Amino acid sequence: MKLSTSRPSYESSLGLNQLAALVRRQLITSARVPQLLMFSLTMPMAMLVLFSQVFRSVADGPAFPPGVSYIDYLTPAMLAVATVMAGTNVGVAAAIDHTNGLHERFATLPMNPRLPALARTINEAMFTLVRVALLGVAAVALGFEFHGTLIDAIIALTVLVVLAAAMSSLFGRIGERLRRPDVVQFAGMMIMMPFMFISPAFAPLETMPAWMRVMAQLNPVSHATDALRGHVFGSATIGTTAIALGTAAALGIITSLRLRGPRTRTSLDRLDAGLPPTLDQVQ
Amino acid sequence: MDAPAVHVEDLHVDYGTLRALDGVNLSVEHGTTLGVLGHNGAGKTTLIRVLATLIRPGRGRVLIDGIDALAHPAEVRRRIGVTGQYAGLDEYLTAAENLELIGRLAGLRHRSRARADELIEQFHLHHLATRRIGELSGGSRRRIDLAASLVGSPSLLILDEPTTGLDPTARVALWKAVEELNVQGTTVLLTTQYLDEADRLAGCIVVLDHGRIAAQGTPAELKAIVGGKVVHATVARHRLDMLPITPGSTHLLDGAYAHVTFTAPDAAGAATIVAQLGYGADDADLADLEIVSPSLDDVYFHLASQGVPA
Repeated sequence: MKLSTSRPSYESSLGLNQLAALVRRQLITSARVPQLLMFSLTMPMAMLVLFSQVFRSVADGPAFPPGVSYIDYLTPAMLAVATVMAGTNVGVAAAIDHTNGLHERFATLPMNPRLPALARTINEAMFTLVRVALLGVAAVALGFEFHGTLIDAIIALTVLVVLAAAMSSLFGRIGERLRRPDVVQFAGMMIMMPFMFISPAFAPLETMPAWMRVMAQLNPVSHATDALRGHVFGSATIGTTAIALGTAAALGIITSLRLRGPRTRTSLDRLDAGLPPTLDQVQ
Repeated sequence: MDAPAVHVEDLHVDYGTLRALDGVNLSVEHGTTLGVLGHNGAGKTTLIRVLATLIRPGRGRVLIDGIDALAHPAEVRRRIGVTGQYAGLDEYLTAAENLELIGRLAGLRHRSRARADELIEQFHLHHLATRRIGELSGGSRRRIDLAASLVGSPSLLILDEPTTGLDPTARVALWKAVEELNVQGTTVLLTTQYLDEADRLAGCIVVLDHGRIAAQGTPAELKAIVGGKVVHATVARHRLDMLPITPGSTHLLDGAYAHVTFTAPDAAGAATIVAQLGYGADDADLADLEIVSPSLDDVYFHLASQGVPA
């Protein structure tokens, strides 16, 4: 029979009520696994301390911008990179919802199927602000100075929150696709690496091979790093910030698109249905 | 309401080249329980997932309370409660918090807390209410999961192997809960591998095999497929050749004995078989004798040995 593609309409105030319940749930569960929260918030601080000491010689290289201290150069990059690292946790959280059956429970409830992912993104945005505060304290202790204005600070925070939302969307999608927390953890690390290193985060792009410089143009972390540095140094341009926001938003939108139309069944669908995988899927 | 609680027509679901459901038709009346029986891979869970709006069939029609589940899944989701094979609960939240969360997501808003308390009362979950799901036993989780599927006061409750892994006390408690729901007018559709469970709970049973309905009817109707009575006897081996009638099955036992079964259309037929077995036999020839009504197991194995009519 012909399947209707019309989408159900959801009462918006009810939607907000449901979203609030999901955000609250994420906050409670995060608070109840304090180890994960603690490590995900303090790891960027540890990296900032170590990198600022180990890689300080980068500042002596010919490609390094003159008159800039390495800690001022590193801190905005670390803020961007920490957002990517935290994305992995979002992916794991999405996968855990699959393994404990909550994903299915949600799917049988009369709510918009996008709400769980949206709740994860809102949570990630909140944690991003906490991370900025903690990282900021550590950076100042290491000699970091903010050369921009209050508006620079606000825009920088906006760039970070948008980037965090994009990463949450990307990794959440990966978590929903791979469904196993352990697999998502590793896949997340694999995906995290190019985002972190094919960017001017730790060393100037000019020192890298041409193909990496081309790839860096597609990397929202790369553009976010440039924009954040601009706001930290007080030398930001509208263009850089717009590209940073645009690439992050594009990544967020692309990864939250639900592909319509017939889709190929995967071995996971078979497992869901209680069927054994076919031979070709085992091989 | 005139429309049946569940109406399924010509349901087909394919996974790649494998046909999981192959033309299933069924109907469930309001306030009754339908038991879906079948071995692993027979299509039980696929059927559940279609009814729960989790997968779309390749072909067919699914009406829940007369509402087309494929065209209006959101409407259907307001009317169903689903408990899968694995508890759909957040391990880090307490039982009460889980119930309240699901209440909010089901659209109960500020009534969610009160509804959670109600279910805790109804399912006697007081001692579990403030404990995190991650700390609880499998049986306790399933009870909370069942409560969770009832948060939205569904008119149709869908249960996928609800008592698998439960201890006998918990099983009986869940059976009572299902019976009570039927009394209150809730329709229940459950899959099970336990034939005694289907026998006890279900007014109507569907036996699935390779995605098709192998048999359908009340427990009594299904048992009639096998025959009215079954006579089990343990006889001396040397008597096997002298039996007045050929047994339905013969199984040689250790020592000098064999176990034979006979099916009879009714009690009188069974009495005749017993009389013939006893004729001319001495103490040592007939070691044991039993007349039983067929169980759903007999039906199940009977169907399995016959194969499904194409």
